[in-house]
Amino acid sequence: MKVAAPEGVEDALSRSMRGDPTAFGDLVREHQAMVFSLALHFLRDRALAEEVAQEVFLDLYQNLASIESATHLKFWLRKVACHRSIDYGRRQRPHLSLDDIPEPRDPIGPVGEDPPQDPLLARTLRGLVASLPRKARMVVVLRFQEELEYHEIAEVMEIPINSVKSCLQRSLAILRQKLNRCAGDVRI
Amino acid sequence: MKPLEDELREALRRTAPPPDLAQRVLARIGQTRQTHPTPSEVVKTSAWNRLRSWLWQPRVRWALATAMCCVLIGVVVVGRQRAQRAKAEAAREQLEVALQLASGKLNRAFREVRRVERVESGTRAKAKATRRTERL
Repeated sequence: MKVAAPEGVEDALSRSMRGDPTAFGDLVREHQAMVFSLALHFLRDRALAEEVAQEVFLDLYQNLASIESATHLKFWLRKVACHRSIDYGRRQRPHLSLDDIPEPRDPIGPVGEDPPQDPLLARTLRGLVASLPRKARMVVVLRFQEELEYHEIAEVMEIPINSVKSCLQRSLAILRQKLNRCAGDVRI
Repeated sequence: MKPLEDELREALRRTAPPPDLAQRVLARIGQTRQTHPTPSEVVKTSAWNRLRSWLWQPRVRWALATAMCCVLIGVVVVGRQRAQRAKAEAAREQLEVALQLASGKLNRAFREVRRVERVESGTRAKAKATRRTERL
């Protein structure tokens, strides 16, 4: 069962807090795409992303008592997923250059009905995002996957809002430059 | 060509997780539940446990002991003050009674003195009149 409406999430949350495993399953199903995608776009490794997602939800189960509302739950999951991914990223190779990025074993496709118009460009972009430094990478993922505002990213990542702005500007400049370099004649 | 931001939005769209992710999470929770309490139990006990652990902190214990000493000293001081005030009240009442008695006695004595004076002045006036008539 999928709980889309916020009231449904609130209901599932309160039932989970009373120890209902089915309701907790509903909460997991509702937010798994967000948590998994955050980890996947950051780590570029499906197995690791799945592990991160599982740990985030286990962590949520242990901390259900501290969750106040559906909005807080979403914020909490984003925050924990973000920090867990950064931790896992730290344990991975310190830095990936564009040439080092392997092609994913399973193609990473979006959830929605309509796929991106240019799959090759999308894949290249994901690879370029993965080549960014950890903090910048997470800012980009939060901004363009979750469509968060600057202040929301600052809250999730616990950094000043000005750092978010400058980080995003720098990242976009780097991405533009690298994309131009690798696309050659393709103008962005 | 779309701007880079739009391309990034499309490239970083949410990805479908493995279909059995939720089941695996629930299975892991089932394993951990044997060793950890359920969230509802955590909710029930956490408030008491938090209070107990807070009370058990050395700083809090010292603060509580100091507060109890202060309360005890306060009770003793207030008790003494009350006893002194009661004694003072009793003494005042005694003094009032004594003053009332003394005042009554003084009034009686004053009246007696006035009466004697009046009698003596009357006798003296009679004697004077008798002497005047004798001289004439």
